[in-house]
Amino acid sequence: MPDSVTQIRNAGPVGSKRNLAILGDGFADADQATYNDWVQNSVLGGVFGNDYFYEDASAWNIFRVNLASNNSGVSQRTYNADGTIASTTLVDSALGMIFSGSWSHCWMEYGTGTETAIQNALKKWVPDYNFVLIILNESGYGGCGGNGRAHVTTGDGWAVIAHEFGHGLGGLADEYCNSGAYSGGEPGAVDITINTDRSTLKWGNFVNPTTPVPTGSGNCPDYNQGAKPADWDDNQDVGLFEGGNTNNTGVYRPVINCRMRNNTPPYCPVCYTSFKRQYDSYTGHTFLKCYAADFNGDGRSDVLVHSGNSIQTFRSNGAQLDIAFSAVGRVPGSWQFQPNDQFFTGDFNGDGKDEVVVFNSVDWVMPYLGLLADDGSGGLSLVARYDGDIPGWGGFAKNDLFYVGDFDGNGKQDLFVFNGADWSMPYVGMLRSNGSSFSFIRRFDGDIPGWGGLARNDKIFVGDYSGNAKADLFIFNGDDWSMAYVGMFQSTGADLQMTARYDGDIPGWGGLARHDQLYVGDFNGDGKADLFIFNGDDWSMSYLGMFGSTGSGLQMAHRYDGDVPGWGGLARHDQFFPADINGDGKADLIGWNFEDWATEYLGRMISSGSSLAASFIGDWVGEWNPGAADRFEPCNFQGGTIRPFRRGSGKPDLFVHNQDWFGMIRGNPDFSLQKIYYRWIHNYRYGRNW
Amino acid sequence: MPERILPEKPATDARPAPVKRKDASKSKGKNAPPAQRIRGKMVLKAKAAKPSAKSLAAQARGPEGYEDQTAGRRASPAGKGYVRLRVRVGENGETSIVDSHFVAGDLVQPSALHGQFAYEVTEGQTRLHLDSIPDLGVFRSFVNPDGPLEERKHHMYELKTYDFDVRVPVDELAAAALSKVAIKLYRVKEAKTAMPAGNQPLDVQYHRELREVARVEGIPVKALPRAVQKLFEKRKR
Repeated sequence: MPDSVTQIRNAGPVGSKRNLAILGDGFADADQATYNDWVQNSVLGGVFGNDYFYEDASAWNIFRVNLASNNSGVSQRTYNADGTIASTTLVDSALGMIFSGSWSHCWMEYGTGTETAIQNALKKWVPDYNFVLIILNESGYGGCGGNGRAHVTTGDGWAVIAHEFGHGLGGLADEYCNSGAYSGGEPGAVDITINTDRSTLKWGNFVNPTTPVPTGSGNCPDYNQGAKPADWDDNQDVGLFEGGNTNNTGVYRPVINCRMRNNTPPYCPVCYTSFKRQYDSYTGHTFLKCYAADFNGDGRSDVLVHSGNSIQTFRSNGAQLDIAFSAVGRVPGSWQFQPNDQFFTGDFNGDGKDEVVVFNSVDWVMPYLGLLADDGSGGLSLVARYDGDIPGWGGFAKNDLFYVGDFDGNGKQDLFVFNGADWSMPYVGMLRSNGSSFSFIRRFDGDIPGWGGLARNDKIFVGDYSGNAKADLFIFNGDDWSMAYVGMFQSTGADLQMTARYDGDIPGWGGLARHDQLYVGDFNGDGKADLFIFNGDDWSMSYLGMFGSTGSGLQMAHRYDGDVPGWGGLARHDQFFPADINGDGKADLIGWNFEDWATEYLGRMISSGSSLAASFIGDWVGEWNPGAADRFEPCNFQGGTIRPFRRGSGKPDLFVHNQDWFGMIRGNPDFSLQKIYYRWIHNYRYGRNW
Repeated sequence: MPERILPEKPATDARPAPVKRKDASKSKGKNAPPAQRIRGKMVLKAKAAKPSAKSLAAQARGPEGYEDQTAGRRASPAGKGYVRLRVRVGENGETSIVDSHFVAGDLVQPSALHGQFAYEVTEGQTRLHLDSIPDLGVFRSFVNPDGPLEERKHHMYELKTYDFDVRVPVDELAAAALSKVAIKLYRVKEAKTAMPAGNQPLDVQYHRELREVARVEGIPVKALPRAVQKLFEKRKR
């Protein structure tokens, strides 16, 4: 079998990523599966399947170089007690490495041609590597690392390799104690120090002021300076503990037990943060594209973060988010992530957990639609994919717009799709989910009977306005005709029937206008989706209207001319998000304006069923400084006794995000910041990464 | 520019005046007009029909999942690429460039220093590139968990000679006088919490924290990959 390379993780161009080259030695043709499995289980599943390396998977290209050895296994050498060679048994392996099992000889060594063989293999297969992992087909324990390489055996566990990567990729020092006193100066590594001054301690920002410094003093102690707090976490609580760098005294480490001490615990906050800072710019991560969804069905909104060709999901426990899933390149199934993927979340299989529909009409030779669902271990995998079309729709196109709604009322969210741009006439389609796939149900070519013609700038809004548990449609068009129109289309489960069309006005509104903005929410809690309409552009003042659904039409409940009491004035660039902020089953509005006033305002407009009472917070929400770059995702990260999901309700909280920052804002009883994260989502026991 | 005067909305019980525009009105009732045409080629969707068994089969999935999505035409990688140089540091700190090759695509410039070593490529006071090197010049035997006490730690081996890799964008290199280009290798003597790359050369910014351990002064044209050498030959002409 000729030598080859398999890129087992494709995170991006080599110049914008870090590149790990894996070379195998002593793997004959018949051993290739063993080699592949070991790399899969120990490197991808082990090192890159846990803590830091799992989170930042998108920083790393991984190349598995498949070198065929003529013999199975590697050469062996034994040493006498005095260090002289007792015996050597040479075999013909690709790299010619020699395993000795001798600690004082780095467990293994290079043969005469090993360095050249390694260089040749790298130059041919992974010319721009950053780090090299060499795996010996040898079941004995042992390893030798350093100088940009790690040499391991198939007998080594992944945690040992992760520790070694702490040195090789993190520049971290050992935190374990072995013998003697340290007598050098301040070490260059970030995770050991001789400094016992809290004010200048290099990891002092992670040390709680109530924690004594030093925290452990003496011969490699644990916490011995006072009583150890009951909730102290030996891996995540940071202090100053004597012993490290293999010495028992004279040097200090940050935690009692880190991966750099005992291999198996996760990296401590100091080591984790050092890794994150070192490789953050290679991850491509941002918080620009975030989607709220309840992935585990616990009633709390989690978040999916999409960056380039990677996704991460973070799970809410009500007060914070924790990493649940990280994927780069693709998920099993397979779906390959790209920058222009569009995500839509909803419970498409009725299991109480949200799934993800992903559509991409830009990055591939044809548009693709995929359905990602729980993979059984907290992650996502592809369960259905449609390449270019779903039979009956007549072809996905670049400007297909998807809307989530359970139009047949079977408890599984379905999809509406609209295209007003790519064809000679606009189309609306209904795609039904059976939980594991979508099927085409109905297509409307150019018109839905009664609407008088679908048009390019029709805007679609989903809501069960009839209250029969089937998602219906509102359609608004303010651009294509001589007057603006609103249409209401009731789902029969397999078709849409127009129940009302408003030509130029909804009674009481005083005239539909071009820039009317519609928001769907059941503001009176009667189980029927109602409409808010806002217009900040077309009139001499801004207007906000509330239109209750009668089940087949709309009836104005209230119109606010220029202000909603307590909001301090409706303004041109007001934006709204329907959400049941106070959990009373009535959809309220979150108001947001960053353009029209001297400062930014975030407001709560609580619905009484027929009117709104507003309040607002200006400029800052806790430590969050709202601004033009911010994007909001109404959600319910706190969980609790909120009514079951209905569009526009049950979302008292907000995720707020921009390029570098992510915030969790509680909406009830008032806006307040629950958590703020910079560059990455991680919950430090004390301190922060900025 | 005069401010546009907008009308107030009529009272909630008043009939609105329709907006004056040239477009057509929608029809009343059920007899809708033909759908509005969209500019451009007349492209209609295929007639909607129940999916055939054949078309459904086309969507079927094998046990291992779907095949890869098909990439469209991609633009070639932005940027002219970069040169990767392998620099050898000898027993007495002497340096030589022992290998080089060209890599297509952009090269990310790190914004900060991390780890125990760093290199910087400069032409005078101008930085061409820098990067961190976490681990250099030593080998460590893994701890022997079942061994005697002295083996329950790494056994360290200082390397008499070692190599490190340097990357530098072709554009930056092509604009420089190769004889004035220097590659400096630094040891991080004292890590600070944050060491942003900044704009000044590293030895100016971090003279306390960094110690130079090796230097290459001037890059011979012949040390560069053949494809990059051509750039300099062209410039001579």
